[in-house]
Amino acid sequence: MAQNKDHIRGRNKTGGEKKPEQRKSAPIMPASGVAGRPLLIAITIMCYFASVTIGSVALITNIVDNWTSQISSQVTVQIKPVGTTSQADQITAAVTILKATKGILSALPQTAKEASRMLEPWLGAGNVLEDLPIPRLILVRIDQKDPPDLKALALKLRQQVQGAVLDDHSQWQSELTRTATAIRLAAMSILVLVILTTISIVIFATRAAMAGNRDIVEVLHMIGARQGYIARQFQIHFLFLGIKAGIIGVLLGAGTFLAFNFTLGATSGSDILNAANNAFIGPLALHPQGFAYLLAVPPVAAFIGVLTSRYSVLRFLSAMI
Amino acid sequence: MIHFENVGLRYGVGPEILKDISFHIEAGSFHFLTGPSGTGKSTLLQLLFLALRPTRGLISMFGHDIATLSGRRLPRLRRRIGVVFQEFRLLDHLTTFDNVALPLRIQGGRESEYRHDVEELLNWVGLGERVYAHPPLLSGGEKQRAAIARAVIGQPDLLLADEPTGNVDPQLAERLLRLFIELNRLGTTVVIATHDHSLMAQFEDAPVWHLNNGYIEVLR
Ligand SMILES: Nc1ncnc2c1ncn2[C@@H]1O[C@H](COP(=O)(O)OP(=O)(O)OP(=O)(O)O)[C@@H](O)[C@H]1O
Ligand SMILES: [Mg+2]
Repeated sequence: MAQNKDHIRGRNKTGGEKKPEQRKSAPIMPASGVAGRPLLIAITIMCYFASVTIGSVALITNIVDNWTSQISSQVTVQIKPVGTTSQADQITAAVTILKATKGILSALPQTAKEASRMLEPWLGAGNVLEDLPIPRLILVRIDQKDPPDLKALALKLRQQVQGAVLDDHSQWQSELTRTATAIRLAAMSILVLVILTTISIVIFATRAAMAGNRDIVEVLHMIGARQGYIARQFQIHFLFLGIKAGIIGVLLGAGTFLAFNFTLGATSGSDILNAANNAFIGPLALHPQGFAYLLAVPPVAAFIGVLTSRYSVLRFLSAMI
Repeated sequence: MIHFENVGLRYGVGPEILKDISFHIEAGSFHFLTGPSGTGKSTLLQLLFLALRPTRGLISMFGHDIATLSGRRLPRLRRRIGVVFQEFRLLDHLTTFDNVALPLRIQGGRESEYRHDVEELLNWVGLGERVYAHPPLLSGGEKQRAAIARAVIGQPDLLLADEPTGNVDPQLAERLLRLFIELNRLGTTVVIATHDHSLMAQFEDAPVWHLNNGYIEVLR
């Protein structure tokens, strides 16, 4: 029969073409029609913003932590010039009490010269201290492993030494914490905005991709593909897009912080500034853990891409019968 | 198997294309659908493969009233139906092989499992040499045969073909008709919309329905 002959002829002819084992089925949805270069660039920029924001929060948190721990290892006692006793006697009495307290490493009273030098910028040079009743400070270093009861100490000082006030920097510290919280909140809102923007970009791109591939979507629909199956043909491209954009964005972000570390970090600048930095602020550099946080960006980007594209495809399809 | 009762259809606010269609198609039957151009044959087929819903009337398929059928159940029903579209609707970025294999692929089939069947069918319809060609490079008749192969590869319970021999020579048309008859003998219900009287003449056992002015008239 003719059809049998055809069979044989067909077999022989296919044998001459590319070997079947060597070729792989093309994706049902062509990648170029879904996730093109402009989209990759847009998502990459979003991932870069996210990386820089996350890194900045890590950096600021680190600085604030450094700062507050430095401060809480130091308190000051202020001796106001009041009453009849001389300031020198007041200071001696306070130092005696401080030295007798467990958990205090040292109590160093400021000399009169130091006190006036501190006020120089405001009051000008001269024998200010002799002319004006100016409070003097005692710098107290606390053993952080075994800190004294600061409340009891404050009470004792107030009762036994006239004009002595213990300042444990708690106000300054809470101020600092408040500022840090505000910065973190601001960073959070930037992150939320970046995420929302990414979601809108993906929705937009998915819709465009579906309009551009309408014939494919319709054929799949007509031959009985489930909605989830059709959605997956889009999702897969957004998965790869998210990972790719995430990795490029993080690399750019990490590069930015490395450049930042290099120019502003502990390894450069004047010696005095460095010393001050290291003593007070800590190194102005993103620590390894901060870099590790950035690794969250690619999976999150991929996750957003997949979920958002799936959602928009399903919404679109549910309008078809 | 398929039941239409007082079915009417209009596109949007346009005139009623199908006015009062009632018929019954038995499982395993073979029907020709004919009628002048623009009379609504393709529209009726679209109702049959669930791409359109009627504006009025009742359609029941495979024992389901399609008006109450949820969207989730539709894919399973559609998989039992093979369609040859009048305009083929092949996907240009896929090879002939991938186009024909598509219905099996979306059902989760693996290429290693269906490769042989697809190649055999392509040989049978005379596309053995065009397995890895893309549709834009196929002739009209070749596209038509690829579209037919895609419709029958899943051995559907119902085959709907819209002008399946419009682009091929009489010899090939006869050959394709034999494919449909063969499928029908294996249990597939077949409905073919066609203008081709010689085709209908070749299979005299099949009833011919004539669609005109929105009504169906049984010619044979
Ligand atoms: N999507 C649509 N929207 C509006 N009108 C449509 C649509 N599709 C078809 N029509 C109209 O419905 C009528 C029937 O069209 P249909 O394609 O069903 O005819 P047909 O019998 O298949 O014609 P042919 O033999 O030329 O293929 C035509 O007048 C056509 O203009
Ligand atoms: Mg038509």
